[in-house]
Amino acid sequence: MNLRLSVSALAAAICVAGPAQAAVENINFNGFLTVGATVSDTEVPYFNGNITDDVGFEQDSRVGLQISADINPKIGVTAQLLGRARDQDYDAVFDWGFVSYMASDAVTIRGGKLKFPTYLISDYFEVGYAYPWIRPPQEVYYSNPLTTISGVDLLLRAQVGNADLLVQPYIGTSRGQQTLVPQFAQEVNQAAGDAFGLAAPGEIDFVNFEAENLVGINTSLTWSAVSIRAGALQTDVKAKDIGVIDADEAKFWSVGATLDWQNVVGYTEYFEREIDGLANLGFPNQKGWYATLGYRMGKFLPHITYAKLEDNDNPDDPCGTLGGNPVPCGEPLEQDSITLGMRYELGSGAALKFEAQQMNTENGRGLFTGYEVSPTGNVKTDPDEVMIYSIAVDVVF
Amino acid sequence: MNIVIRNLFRLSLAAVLLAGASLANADQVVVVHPGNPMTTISAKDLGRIYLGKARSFPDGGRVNPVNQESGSEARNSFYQEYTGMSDARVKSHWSKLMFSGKGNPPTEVAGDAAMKREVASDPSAIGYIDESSVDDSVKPVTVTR
Repeated sequence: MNLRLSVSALAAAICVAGPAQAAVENINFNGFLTVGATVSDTEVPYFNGNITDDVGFEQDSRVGLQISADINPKIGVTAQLLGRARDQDYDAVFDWGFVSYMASDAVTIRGGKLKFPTYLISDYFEVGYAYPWIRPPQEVYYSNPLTTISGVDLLLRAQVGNADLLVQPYIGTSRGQQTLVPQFAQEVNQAAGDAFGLAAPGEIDFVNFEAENLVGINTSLTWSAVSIRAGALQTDVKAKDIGVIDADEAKFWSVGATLDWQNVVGYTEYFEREIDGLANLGFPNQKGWYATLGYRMGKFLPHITYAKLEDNDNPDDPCGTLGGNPVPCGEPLEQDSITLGMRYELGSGAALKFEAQQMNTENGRGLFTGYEVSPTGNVKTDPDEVMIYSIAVDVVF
Repeated sequence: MNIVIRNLFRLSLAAVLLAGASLANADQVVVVHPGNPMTTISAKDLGRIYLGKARSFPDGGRVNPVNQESGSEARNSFYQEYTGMSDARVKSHWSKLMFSGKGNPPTEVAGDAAMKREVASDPSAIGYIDESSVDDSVKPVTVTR
């Protein structure tokens, strides 16, 4: 449901700082919600540590609230609050918000804190209802922990034959947090005499980092059944927690396509990431791809996904020096997975999803995190052929 | 005599076929503000407006599409007719645009009376109502293929 209010009192409340009498045409409140449960068949935690062999709700459950208002036909403000179960029990954060100016049908400029499109669905990544999976393929989507920038972007639109062209350049700065490749970081940490002061084995390490001079471009061509997209971005990364003080250059590029023809649904994407210098320790060069194919049968959408994450010619050691000592490069994470999923439409604006994912890791790690904690001490484990089962309900309102 | 009966039969057959052809469009009529000079709109342009792909009327004026209630038969058949998309697909399409901050779905009204009030009060509005609800407050436009 799309709730629209033409209430000047509310408008005034939102525009407190603006000039008096700002005439707001309408205010929209919308939201999305995902409640999901996961369980795997290994004790070794997956990625951020929220998927283990105990049934948990932390990985996927989240709620978002979006407020948008038109100040006039050309100027609008939009903001989104997001609360995720995996962040301190749903502490809502201001995920993004911006002011947009529609100069013409073809040109819109937006400024503020923006969700930017590293990949196909990055800018609505949190809205489970808008895509077939419970989790977009992690082999691609977990490669860029940056999801928002403080900056500006341009939405340039044109019709090219039967297609709609979108060209979206963006520029800004960002900060974020990423799970550190744990086993490897622990080894380096211990070898360096606890130089990084990491958490004890068995716990998850997060690294805070900053991205400056982030510039990128997103382009897409959309026909009625097919869309294709290409994008690239680069930024200078600092991660003081692991001694990355000089800004190291990070680059991403990706291509992708979607299909929605008759009852056939398809998604595919490929990406490469390259990171120089000390930052490579935590964020090694990677490449990955996935392909999803589904077939809509009434309210059911069964789908299958193959996804792969692998080394992208990561450089030979060392990748830098810290206190005069050489620091090795990161170890690329490698895994592939097959996911069988089913989406079922629960009336308008709600969907129920099931997924079974089998993951195969290379060199014992993949996207798994941490050491297994056993009564006899901390044991480094090599999970392989792990199954993850998930169920979720996605709602938009 | 025989010829007359045969011709009458042919005539009635043609009438049935014609009626059948227009049934595909239900009895829905696309309407705009009475001040809007537009008399026709293509099915393609109409579909683009209701999916947020076009923000203007074909002649360049700003367009403000108005939808019937979510889940209503009128809305479902309208989208099926001009975009070929089911309710769930339309909902998913708008979720992508809306929650990435790229556009809001059309304003929603409940029923033909509310639709007429909305369209009659906004020179840039476009909407759709049952043929039987059409009156002077709104202007019907022909949808061309």
